[in-house]
Amino acid sequence: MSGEDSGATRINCTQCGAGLNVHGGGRVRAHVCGYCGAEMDTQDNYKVLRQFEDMRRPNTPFEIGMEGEIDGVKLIIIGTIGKREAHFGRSWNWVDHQVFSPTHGYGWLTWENGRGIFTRKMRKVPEPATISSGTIENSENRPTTRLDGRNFTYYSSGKPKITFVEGEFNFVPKMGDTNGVVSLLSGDEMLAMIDNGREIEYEVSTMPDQTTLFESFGIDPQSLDKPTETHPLAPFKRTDNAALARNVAFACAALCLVLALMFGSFGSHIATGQAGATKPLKVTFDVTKPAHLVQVRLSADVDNSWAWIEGEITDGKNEAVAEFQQGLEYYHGYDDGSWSEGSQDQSLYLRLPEGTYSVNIAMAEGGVQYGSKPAARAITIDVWEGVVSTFWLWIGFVVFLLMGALFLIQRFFHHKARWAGSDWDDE
Amino acid sequence: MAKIIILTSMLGSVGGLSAMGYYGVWGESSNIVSARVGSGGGGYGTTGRVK
Repeated sequence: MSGEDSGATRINCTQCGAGLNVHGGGRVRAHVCGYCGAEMDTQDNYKVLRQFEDMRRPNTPFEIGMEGEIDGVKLIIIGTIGKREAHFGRSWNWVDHQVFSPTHGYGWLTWENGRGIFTRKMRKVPEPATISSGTIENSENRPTTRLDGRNFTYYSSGKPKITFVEGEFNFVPKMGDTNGVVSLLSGDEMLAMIDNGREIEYEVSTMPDQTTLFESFGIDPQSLDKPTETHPLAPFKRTDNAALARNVAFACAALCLVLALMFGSFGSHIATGQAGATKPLKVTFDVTKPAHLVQVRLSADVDNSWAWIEGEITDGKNEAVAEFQQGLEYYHGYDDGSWSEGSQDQSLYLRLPEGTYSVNIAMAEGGVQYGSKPAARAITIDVWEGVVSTFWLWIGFVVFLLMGALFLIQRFFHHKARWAGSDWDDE
Repeated sequence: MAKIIILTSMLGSVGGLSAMGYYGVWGESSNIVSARVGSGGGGYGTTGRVK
């Protein structure tokens, strides 16, 4: 039944005699008794207008007489209307509570799927002022209207039916009444065009901060069922930790990039040598930085040809410490634009203890794409030491970048979820 | 606490990746078909990747 309010004026139901609190101000037109369902005309000595029977009370955490604050305005709940919309075998139920402020007049506090939505009437008229069902049926794109410099985009339409009435209202509701409603969404506001058969009324809904709203009306937010769907007015909220994780992920990606570029410049060129491709080539070098990698770059002037290089690295005692083989191939041409593939050089990386080493290579095989020129005329060895691998930092760069991007994609999914309840069909 | 975990784990990862690169951990390339020098991971043999 109704919430307690010791400061309210009280009347007795002219049908059943039950004591009823009066909260609603001078523009209340009807008062429906919560005990017997009699609707009384407040402008005519509470004369009984009609009797509502078999009303099933809808679930809502709000009660008549509860007081709270929305956007700094103190409001009291004066009435409750249950509504139901059925469409193609599905149905949606919600509860509209009429609220009253002595300074700001009347509005609605709606309880729908675990959320509280505040609605106020608009005196301004959007442009265009109406969106007909024909327009909705025949439009290629979602119809739009403009109000206060904002574009509102079509979200849904329907004819909700009143299923329950109790309390005071600034109009005369009837069980089973339906109004045609077209809803349009713009960011954090929803505009409703309501056709009551006599005129079009406009209402704008917003979603106040839910915790503040419920606590303001004396309701423990933890006691409420959690919403199962994203409401079209639900703001995108990112927790402080998620925002921090996103920012740190992007910062780490940038750090990996900078470090990779910096590490890539490390290394000292310590030896080089060149020989005819048909001859073996030996280059000797000293390793003084055993903590880092040695890079041996093999080059050959392959040109639309390939060469297979085999070699080994020997230590100061002429014992092999590593054997390797590497193909070099490079092709280029013109086919709807110039193209090239392969490379004239390849590197091998390894760690070597401090000491003197020799790298010995020879071209084992080679071939040309066409013609009779040699596969390569010269082979070259270049050796660096103190080389730092950038491989892991590039991996880190990609991973952190993807991690940060995932947080950005959250916003996209939230946007999709907000519009998921729309009845618009692109086809 | 969660903030500290986020900061520590992410920045620690960058530090770890930097150290792995700096000291050439798993840094040998796979074109080395056999080796008896120490790998970046501390063992013997080829363990690396093509560069």
